[in-house]
Amino acid sequence: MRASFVAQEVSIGLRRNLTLTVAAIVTTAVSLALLGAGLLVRQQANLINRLYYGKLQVAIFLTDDVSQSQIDGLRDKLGQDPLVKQVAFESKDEAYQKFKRENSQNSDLLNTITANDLPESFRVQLKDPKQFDVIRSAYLREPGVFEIQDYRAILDPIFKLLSGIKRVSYVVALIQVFASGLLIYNTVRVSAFGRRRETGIMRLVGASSFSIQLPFLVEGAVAGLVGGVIACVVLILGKVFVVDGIIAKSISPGVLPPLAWGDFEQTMPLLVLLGILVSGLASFLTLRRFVRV
Amino acid sequence: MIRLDHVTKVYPTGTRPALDDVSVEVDRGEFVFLVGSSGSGKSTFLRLLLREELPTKGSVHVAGKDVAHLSNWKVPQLRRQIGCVFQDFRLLPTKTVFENVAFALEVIGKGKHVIQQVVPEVLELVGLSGKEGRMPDELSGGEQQRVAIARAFVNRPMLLIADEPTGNLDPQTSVGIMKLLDRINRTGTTVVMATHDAAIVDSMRRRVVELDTGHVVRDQARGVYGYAS
Repeated sequence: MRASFVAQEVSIGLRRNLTLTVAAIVTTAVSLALLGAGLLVRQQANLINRLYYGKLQVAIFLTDDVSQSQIDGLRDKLGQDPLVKQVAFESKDEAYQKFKRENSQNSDLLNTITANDLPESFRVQLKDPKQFDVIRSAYLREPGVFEIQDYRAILDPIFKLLSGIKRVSYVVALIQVFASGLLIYNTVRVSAFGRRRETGIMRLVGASSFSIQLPFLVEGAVAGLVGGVIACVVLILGKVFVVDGIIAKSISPGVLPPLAWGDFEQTMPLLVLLGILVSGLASFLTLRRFVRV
Repeated sequence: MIRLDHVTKVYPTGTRPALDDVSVEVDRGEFVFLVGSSGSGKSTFLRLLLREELPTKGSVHVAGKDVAHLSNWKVPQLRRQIGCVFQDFRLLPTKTVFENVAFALEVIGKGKHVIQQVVPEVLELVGLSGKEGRMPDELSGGEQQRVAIARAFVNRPMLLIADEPTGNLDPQTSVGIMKLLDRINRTGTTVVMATHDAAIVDSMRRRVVELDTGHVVRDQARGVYGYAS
């Protein structure tokens, strides 16, 4: 069959049951947009993980009156600890330099705090970050140790939030995929019924089963394609207006990495492809039931 | 051209066979009337030729092919060699006369040039030149049936199956349709026509096969509708 003929038949088919087609497109778009949001959140979580989590350390702050021999003793003990990957000592001076970098805009704070106000500390990287509790209980009572902090704990709420968003969007996407599958099933069924005259004649004049089914498959695929494209538009609008517009402004800049367009370039073709595949498959399964060939 | 060999067809819900041990042979170029009352098995006979149904027992050969044992993907090839005309015309109401005929070629992958050349030819053959752009509902019943015949014949099939093609037409129009089918038959196409129209069968004096409750009760070379006296 000529492509222009198929295109013509498809456009007749889509227009003939426009309401169902639109419903199918909208549900497909919603489910794909949610799936896309979930994927983007996951990429974002991975990015945050890569940027910060791996580098975050356990800080063992020392008391003000700690002696050099206590420091040496701790350094030796940490160096031989099988749980520890790397250990570095941070002097009051180094701590102050870091503090100045991190608070360069806050001159009041810089003026009141001096290097002497900041504690000395060991910066410890663990082989397994989850072993923090073991380290804490092992070293907290050592002489000269003031407090032990896991910097990872700071990021935990963010990770929990992101994984919550991810989970909810996946679950809703799944429900929507189910709904859009049913809608496509119905769309094709109605379309098959509306075109039974055509398909009957096609059978009689010896059209191959492929050419009888092709217009229906293309109809489904077009609905999926449009749904996928709408989902992408929704995601782009979501980034521009919600993420960049509202969320980014309420978090101080530089704390969290911005949502990169690069992630979109990976996610969007996937969504469109998935839309075409899922609706094509749904049409195909429906065809086997409702279109005699 | 057609050979039914001891064919029995029992439908799953049927109480008696629709066809019972039927053997009929039709040669290339023949014109055969299939007569019999409703439920005599005429439609089943035609559906077996098209492989719309499979025989329960026996074998059906059309154009040298064993229809019952044809693999599914070869069925379209068989149907391309058979043209079909029905009582209810079965035209597409949203397409013009030209498009209706062209549709049969489009869906089997014929190119634009072939269509542009062949469709006007066949429309002229059926006497519809000048009406290419009309919609089916702008035509009389007889003209609609001519469009249907054009569509069935446009691919030059070896066999034309007509299931009561004059059933919806007045006698005068029916005569015109029969003349057309006769002309198509004279081009070498085998025609099998199921009908209730006694006047037509009597006037044509062609071979008549009569079915009654699934049995062939008569097969006459130059028959009439009722029993010859």
